[in-house]
Amino acid sequence: MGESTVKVQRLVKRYGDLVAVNDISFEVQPGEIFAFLGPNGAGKTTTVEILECLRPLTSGEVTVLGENVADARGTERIKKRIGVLPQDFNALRRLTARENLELFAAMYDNPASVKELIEVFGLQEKAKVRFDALSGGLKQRVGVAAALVNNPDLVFLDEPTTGLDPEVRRATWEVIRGLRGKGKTVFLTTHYMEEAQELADRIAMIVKGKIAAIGTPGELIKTYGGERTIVFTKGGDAVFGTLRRYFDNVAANNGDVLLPYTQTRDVEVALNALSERGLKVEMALRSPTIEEVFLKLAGFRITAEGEAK
Amino acid sequence: MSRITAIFKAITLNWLRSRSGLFFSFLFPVMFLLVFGSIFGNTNSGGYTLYVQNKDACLGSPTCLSLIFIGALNSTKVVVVNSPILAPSVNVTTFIQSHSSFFGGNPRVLVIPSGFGANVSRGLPVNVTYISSPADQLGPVVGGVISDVANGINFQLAGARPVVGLSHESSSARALKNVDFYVPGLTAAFMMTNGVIGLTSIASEFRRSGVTKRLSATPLRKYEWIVGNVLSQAVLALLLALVMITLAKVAYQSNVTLDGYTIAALVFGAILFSGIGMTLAGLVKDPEAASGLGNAIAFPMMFLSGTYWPVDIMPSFLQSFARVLPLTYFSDGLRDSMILGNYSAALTNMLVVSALAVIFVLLGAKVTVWKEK
Ligand SMILES: Nc1ncnc2c1ncn2[C@@H]1O[C@H](COP(=O)(O)OP(=O)(O)OP(=O)(O)O)[C@@H](O)[C@H]1O
Ligand SMILES: [Mg+2]
Repeated sequence: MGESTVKVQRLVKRYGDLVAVNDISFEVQPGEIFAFLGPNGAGKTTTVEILECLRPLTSGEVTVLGENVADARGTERIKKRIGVLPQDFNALRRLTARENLELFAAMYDNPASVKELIEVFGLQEKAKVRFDALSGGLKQRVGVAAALVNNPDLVFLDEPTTGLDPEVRRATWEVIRGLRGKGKTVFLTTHYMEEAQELADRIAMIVKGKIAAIGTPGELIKTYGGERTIVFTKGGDAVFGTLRRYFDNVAANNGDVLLPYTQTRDVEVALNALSERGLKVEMALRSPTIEEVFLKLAGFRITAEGEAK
Repeated sequence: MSRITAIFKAITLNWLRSRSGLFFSFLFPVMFLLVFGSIFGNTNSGGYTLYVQNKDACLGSPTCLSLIFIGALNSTKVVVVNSPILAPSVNVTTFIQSHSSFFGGNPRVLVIPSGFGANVSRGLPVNVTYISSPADQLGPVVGGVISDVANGINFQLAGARPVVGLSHESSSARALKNVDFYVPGLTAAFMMTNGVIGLTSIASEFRRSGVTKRLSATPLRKYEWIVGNVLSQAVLALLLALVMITLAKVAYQSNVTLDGYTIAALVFGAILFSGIGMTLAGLVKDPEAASGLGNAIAFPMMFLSGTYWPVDIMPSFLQSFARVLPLTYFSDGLRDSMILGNYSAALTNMLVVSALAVIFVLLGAKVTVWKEK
């Protein structure tokens, strides 16, 4: 196609006086996993729901799969070709996983095989269990399966792993990677740094309705991550004292000695100084993470619950 | 179409698996019917007592024609003329007052005026007077029998027809029991609560849990969603009516009928009350508040619409209030077709119900959120 799967230009969304999305522009390319990373209330769901044609926009221009979301005909065509996992997914509570998937399948002209979906998602044993009796992780799996029931080209996953335990979260990541493997475009929102870093081909950091930065994880780290750090594991006071003579910014942390650096020359200086004194050290190089990039750009961290801190 | 079918199936199944739903929608009405049936059920199986005062006497003995009239009434077997009949000297008003009882209401009295026989034989108009209490649910039935009998005598005299044996097949003259009156009333009332309370809380729960929003992200259209919900309620309503009628027939040998009119009325009623349910759920976001509002509307409506007692015995301001309640028209209509065989009245009521149904379904569609703000 060569055409962007999602194209957003100068999108603004107001709820009364509140500006939830404040003039953002970005594009999502076919076949990529694109992540919206930001804290609670940043405007992630609002943006996603506009793309899913579930909410009108205030101003700006948005096309999804080449169709205008503000257009009724466009909306119809978009809905046929997207898959949606809403934040806090729920299905009919007294229907089983299978019955729910069959319901969603019946909404489309050419649905995927529900039987196959159940197998792919390992739901065979739970297929006859009522939805309200499923664990959070299984509910979410049903939700992802439901998002794929129409063989969509573009899949929206709004906080797919929020509230799941780490193991289930990793399993869900595998599923999401699998989607990219099948050539689908994935639009993901999350407030987990690790999730964005692990999964996304490109990340847009969204803070208070604005995109603070956008790029591949590597680009973001390179541009905004700043210094890398040498960690002298259990270096102790001797190492700290030695390095202190050469570097102002050396720091001690639980017996480890941390030395941020910007050029390789600094590393040489440090190592020479230590060997002159006959100090043997174990060391590791640490690159900045997406978390540090985010902290730097937003001025705060995000807690596990997604709150700005 | 296939989407509507899928929604219909899913919603119905989801509902049938709800124990509290089943309880309030089926068991509860059935319990009511059993209670009402065993209190008031079979009290009238021997026919309805009618006091007659015959003032038409010639030289102290009743005229032949007045005796024929009384005999014809008795031969209907629906009406039992109380014997002995009241003497011409009895003051009817005093008699009624002294014979009233709390449960039975006032006695039904027919007064045959003096000159009845003479006028009838000369072909002159003559009026008999029939007095029954508004609280007496069977009063109008007995009235119908009297007028049937009077007509029969007219025909006979005018020679317009050969002698008409007054068969009790004439619809309004079927032998009715008190329980017959509760079947349409209770069915109507519980269909109303199913829609106004049940569907309201179900639909607002779908909205709160995000089911509605998730479905709106598929090609499903709003009208398909609404039609699926309403259809599901309509089928449940027919099921409820079937259960109530079967139970009344089996347990109390009730005579209610389930004819085409009644089925049509049930369908329109179900659509009407689902429309109200969808409207309330659309207007009120919070499920608790929505079902509270449903209750606040349903209970007064249930008691003021003639489900348990006739509207006519209520104070006049409540009567005018009853006239604006949809349930009044629905339960009156059901009664008209299910027990009274009064199809012209049934049709009028059905028209009101179907017009309201259209209005509320459209309103429900308008306030159901398919695209957020
Ligand atoms: N329907 C609405 N009406 C008014 N304000 C809203 C509405 N929906 C969201 N908001 C506000 O808009 C802002 C953005 O909300 P949004 O749900 O898009 O954030 P989010 O990034 O998805 O956050 P979360 O992690 O909590 O899901 C918030 O301040 C929120 O309170
Ligand atoms: Mg959100």
